[in-house]
Amino acid sequence: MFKEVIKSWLAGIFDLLIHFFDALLPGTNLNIHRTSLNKVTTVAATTFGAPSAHSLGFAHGGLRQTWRKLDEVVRACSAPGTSGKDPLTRLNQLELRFHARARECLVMSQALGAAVTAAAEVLVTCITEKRLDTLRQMYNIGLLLHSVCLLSTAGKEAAMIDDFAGAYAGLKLSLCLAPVDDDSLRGSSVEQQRVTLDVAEITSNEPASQTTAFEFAGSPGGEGGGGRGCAMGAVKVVLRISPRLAHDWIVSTLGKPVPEVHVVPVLFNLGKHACALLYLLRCLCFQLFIHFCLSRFAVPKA
Amino acid sequence: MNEAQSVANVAGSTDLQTEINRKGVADLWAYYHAFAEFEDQSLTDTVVPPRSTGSGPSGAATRRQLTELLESLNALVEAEAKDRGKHVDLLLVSSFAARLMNGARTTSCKSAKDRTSVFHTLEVARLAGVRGFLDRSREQECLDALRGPSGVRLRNAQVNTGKLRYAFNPLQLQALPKVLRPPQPTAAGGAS
Repeated sequence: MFKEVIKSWLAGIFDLLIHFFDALLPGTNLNIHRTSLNKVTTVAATTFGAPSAHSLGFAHGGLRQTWRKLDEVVRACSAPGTSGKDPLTRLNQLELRFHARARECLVMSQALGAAVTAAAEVLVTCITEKRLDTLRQMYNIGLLLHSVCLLSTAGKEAAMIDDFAGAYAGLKLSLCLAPVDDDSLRGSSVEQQRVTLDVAEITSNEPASQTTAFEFAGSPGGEGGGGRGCAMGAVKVVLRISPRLAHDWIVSTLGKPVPEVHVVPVLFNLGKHACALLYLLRCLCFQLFIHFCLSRFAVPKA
Repeated sequence: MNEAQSVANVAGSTDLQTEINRKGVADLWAYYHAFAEFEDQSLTDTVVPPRSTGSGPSGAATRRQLTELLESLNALVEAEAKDRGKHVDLLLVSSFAARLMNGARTTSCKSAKDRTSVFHTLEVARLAGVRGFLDRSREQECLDALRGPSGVRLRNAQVNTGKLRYAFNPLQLQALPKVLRPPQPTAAGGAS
């Protein structure tokens, strides 16, 4: 009995540590890959490991599947004539709710890190190259965040895709630029200094608020953004821009005191079907192995 | 659970991908409409038309190009849903459309070192071709250079795994579309 208690405590502490480090290290292999084409133009893309709650496993599927299960359980409990007050049912519901929230925290934090990095890269390029029309576009209709996911649709990776899609469904992100505090660089021109953006503040408001610049098609009704709402809600990230002159230039050009850019995420996926094939082969090989073992070593019936 | 169920699981699981891609196309169209409306508004508000000072195509040409790209994207998504082939063009077309609308681009897979690397290098090479920096006949040469030891992606794999190799086994390599295959000596370890 004592051993069991110690074992469960240790498992709990281990889980806690894993979650802590997962939350601490949001982006997995997050890089910005810039390729210069004949030194005329630069092609940039942010590459990162798909946001997914590896530490929680995939027994309930991905984030959207977990949301769906939770919604079903809540609906079933609140239906008239059901035993919604039953302690066991309530405990199950609470457990699933906790699991959904934990999954959201892990997945959304990774997606947030990648989204801010990618968006900041585009903003820095626009400001450095003084692309006024692009900046105006971003402040008016939002910044398109186009993501290509190359996860397979077989096995655990299907749940990872679900995590990714769930993260983007619940991501309500806006970026705000604030001038750098240090004013010592004032006086030199924007061209002479490298424009940099640093995260100064991250705030999240109440869940289920709408912050997107426009209602994009397929906006989720019950998943993440709609009725029930993702726990993270709308997130506002304040980026401190250096040099200060760059901020002054944006404000004077756009005529807005606090410029804010809404991020519009779009996701595409194309699994390598080789992985699906491998998964199928693995399943078949495993089953053939079991059949072989059973036929070879099974004790014949008398 | 028998073999037939395994086949059914594998065969049926691409619905998720189709659903995501269809939503992606719808979202891109919605953004395109907002983009077009914004450009029209800018034209009426300002004397200098937007994009006229840039090195890229004019506003009207961009919109024509975008419409064509998004229409072909629709077709590619439906073709992928129907025949479940490896339509790499689906991703490339959507990426080009996003870049034309000044979007931020991201690429990911499970670990962002193997599949991500081969796709990103392909995107860069195709983009260089589209923008007139690279002749199509030299595309493979460019891809090999970007994916080889002189490129940064292999270094990224090394930082993550300690080996200067992409983790594709021979079976995976054969199943990959030709344009996504890394040069032979760089792909010899593990499974992606």
